[in-house]
Amino acid sequence: MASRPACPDRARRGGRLRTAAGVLGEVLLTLGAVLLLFLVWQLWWTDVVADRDQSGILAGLEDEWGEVDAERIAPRQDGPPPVPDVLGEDKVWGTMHVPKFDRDRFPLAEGVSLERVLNVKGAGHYPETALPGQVGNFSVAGHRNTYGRVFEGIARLEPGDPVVIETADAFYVYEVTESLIVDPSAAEVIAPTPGQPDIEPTEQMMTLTACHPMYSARERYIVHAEFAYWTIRDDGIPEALATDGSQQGDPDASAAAYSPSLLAAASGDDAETAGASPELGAASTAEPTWNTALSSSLAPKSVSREERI
Amino acid sequence: MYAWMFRHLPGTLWVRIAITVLLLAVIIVALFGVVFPAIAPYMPFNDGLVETHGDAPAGP
Repeated sequence: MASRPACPDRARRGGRLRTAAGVLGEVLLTLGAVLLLFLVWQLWWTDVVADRDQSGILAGLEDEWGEVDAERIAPRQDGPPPVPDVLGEDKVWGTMHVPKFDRDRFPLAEGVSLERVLNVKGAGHYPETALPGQVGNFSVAGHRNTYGRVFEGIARLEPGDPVVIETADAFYVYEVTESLIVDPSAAEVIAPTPGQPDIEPTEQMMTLTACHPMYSARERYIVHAEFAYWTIRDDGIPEALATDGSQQGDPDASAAAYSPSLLAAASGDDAETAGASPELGAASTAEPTWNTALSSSLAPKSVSREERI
Repeated sequence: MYAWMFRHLPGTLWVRIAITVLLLAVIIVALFGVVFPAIAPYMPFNDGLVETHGDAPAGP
């Protein structure tokens, strides 16, 4: 205390130092807060947005394709499977059903662009690879941790588990044969003959790719599956989707989600659900075509998900 | 820094608190809506693709 009047210079310098330290501390705290917010955005908000986008897409497909008779088991078809109509780059042309996953189904689009397909629509088909039912290797990529995490349960798949592709006309049922962990550069896993790029394909294979380990992209988790059979969509659902217990509740849940009265009720709740930042919800609607479904799809989706768990 | 900014906001204490909350909300919306989506492709944990020849995946 006594030194202050004696050395005013030193006191001033000390004060300035303290101010600088204070500003530095505040900058560091701010950086920490921004990093935390980034995690919240990446691990939670991208899921919220993607779930909403994807349920909008699914509702749109349901309108376009008509409902499947979930009470009926479609007979297996022996003939060659129809070749799906891939509508064009980045377009959704099918859905995937994997009974082992938590989500009963999600959209499947053409292409593997992160920004245009995987982050916003669901799973993506590697464009150079075969189509469902064709001889070759029908390969699909999907997120495992973020953006709706369609392949979150990929590590739970075991040999024999069904992976089903639904298109406007048919269900294609594949059965898992093996799971691998490879380097990101291992393009041979999606070669026409998986693992052997130089050999002409003879089998109808399928491959799923996702990042590995969780919350990292150091390696890739690969699941191979083999074509089992196909069914006509108008005949009902394939056996592979009916035998699973969790699938039983699904037709009711999806029917409820798409019924007009519920949609109307949901749009009222929507503002409440978006809560903290309604501007964001409006800003992030990705595709104008699905907009009508988007705005009201959040509430019914969360209900049906709770029922499944 | 923040104390200095808070002192220079106009109005009574409650007005200043309201302005602060509003500013924070604007910053969070800007981060969620613009900044984070822009930097996400450079983050090393989203890419689940295997490398294809013609069509290199975006991001590391």
